[in-house]
Amino acid sequence: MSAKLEMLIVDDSAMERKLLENIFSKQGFEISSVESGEACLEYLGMAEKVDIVLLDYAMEGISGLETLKKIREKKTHLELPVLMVTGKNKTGDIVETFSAGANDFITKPVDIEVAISRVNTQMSLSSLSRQAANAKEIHAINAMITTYNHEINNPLTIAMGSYEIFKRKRRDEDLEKINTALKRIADIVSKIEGVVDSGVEFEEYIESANLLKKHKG
Amino acid sequence: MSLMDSEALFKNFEGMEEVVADIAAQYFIGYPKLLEAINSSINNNDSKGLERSAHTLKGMVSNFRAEEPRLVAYELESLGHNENFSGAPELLTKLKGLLNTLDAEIREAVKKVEAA
Repeated sequence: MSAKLEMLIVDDSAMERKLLENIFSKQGFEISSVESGEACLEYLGMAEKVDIVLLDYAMEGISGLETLKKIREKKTHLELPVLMVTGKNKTGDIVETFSAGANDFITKPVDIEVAISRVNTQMSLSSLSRQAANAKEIHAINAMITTYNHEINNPLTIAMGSYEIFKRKRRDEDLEKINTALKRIADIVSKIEGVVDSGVEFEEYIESANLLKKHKG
Repeated sequence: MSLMDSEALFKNFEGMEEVVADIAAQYFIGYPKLLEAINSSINNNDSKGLERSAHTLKGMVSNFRAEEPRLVAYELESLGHNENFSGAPELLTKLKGLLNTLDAEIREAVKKVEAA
């Protein structure tokens, strides 16, 4: 997975695209650019990863506002931050932009320092939101580990005890107890496999577990 | 007096002055086409086309902090928005003159960036 943050720039003016590409590639973003709302939606449908979208308000074809509404049908503010880039600065236009689902906006002509700050703020919020979601998931996994540990210990104790008895007495009923206990263990192990496949990476687990410890401490 | 506020322009691009040359290159390609599109929209009574082209041109010149051409482009954009063409040819002539001057000023600014 690429460590660089991926930014999609959507603007029908080649000059504006060039300007934003220049600014944000210097900030370490991996940039992709398209020139219409239609191309933006197509790109988002196919791209593996986009971390933030800068979307021009006034474009030919599907407007920026319509494009934004379509994006929000699939992705929330937290999943994909979208900043509208607009020359409009009337209260009504700004309210309309936020109502349509924008995280924030950048006014034209672009004040570079302000634009960078606004993008960085959204990236920080996204990162915090991801960490919080991971921490919640890790908390649940930790609780499950404690439960499964307990659930494995019980049948394991039974199986080991029954085996010791079986060695001395050779009774079928002890073999049956061992069999039942092992089946129980196998059942729990298969549940644990389900949790392992649920998607939290090891590094994320350690990072979030440390975060939880810090908060508890 | 300059059309372009060089101080404001270079303050905005502080630390990444070379970007000025990059966007200027795009501007030199783009603005003659937009003037042509505005002219064609006026001749064909295409108000939407006038509004759109003037809007794009307004955005382009505003990046160079050139207030006077920005205002004339805005007037043309407003005429298009209101489906009113009266005075549009005169405004276009005025805009062409201003952009001619601005062109030279931007080229000067780019030279300074490249020399630095």
